[in-house]
Amino acid sequence: MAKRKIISQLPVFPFLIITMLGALPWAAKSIAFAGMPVVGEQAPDFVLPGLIDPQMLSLKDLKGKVVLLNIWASWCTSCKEEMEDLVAVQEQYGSRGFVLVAVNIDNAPSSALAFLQRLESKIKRKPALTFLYDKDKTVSQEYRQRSMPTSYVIDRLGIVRKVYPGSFSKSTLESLRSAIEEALK
Amino acid sequence: MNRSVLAFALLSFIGLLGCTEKLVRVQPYEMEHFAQDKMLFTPLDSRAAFEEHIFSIREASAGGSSGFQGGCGCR
Repeated sequence: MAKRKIISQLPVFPFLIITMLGALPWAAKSIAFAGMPVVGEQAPDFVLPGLIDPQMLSLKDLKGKVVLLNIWASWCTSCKEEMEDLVAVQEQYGSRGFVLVAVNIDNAPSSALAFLQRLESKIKRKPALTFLYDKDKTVSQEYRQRSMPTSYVIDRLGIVRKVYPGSFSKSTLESLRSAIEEALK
Repeated sequence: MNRSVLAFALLSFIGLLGCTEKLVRVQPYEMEHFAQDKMLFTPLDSRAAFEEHIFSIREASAGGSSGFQGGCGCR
């Protein structure tokens, strides 16, 4: 009787183990690539206060302009390293209807503000970026950010044209410039 | 018996899958605390030279990192 019971239970466990092992690659893939932003989708709107002044700004307010949305934090070393390059990009294209929106996601804005002061004294001018502050990290969630920093090129119609996960290198900066040129046409 | 075990296992599996995205994976934008110096494997890296100096003074006479001078603390 006991022997029969054991035999009747036998196929259940291999089946369960095989099912779970079979599902593992799928689960891992779904974790790694879950919700990566898709180029060509409408960029989610946001309304955020400024980092320096509390004035609210939404993505809708920037409709008709090419936007580079950069999500950064003061605890992220590579975010800070690329900031000078981003200032240069803003200065290059600012007069042609381009806005670089840098959304800070620090838990407290004080260290971000201290970094901006250091940046200002280093480059000897005010960085002409639009700095916003997102304490709740809703923009990161809605844009399904998968690395720090991440930048999104959004065209005049509010559609995501290019996503740059990670900080900019020389080659990706060139790619960014051509993406901006393309969007500005 | 088999059915209840199977049902329990499947429900647990589905329940755990629900945790994968939100709970298990720390998103890159949630890593502020992980980025702090004290979370490094060598949290005293910035103080390494100072630590080395103290170590040399205290251990030199016993053949520590430094092969010269005594433990007088007068380096």
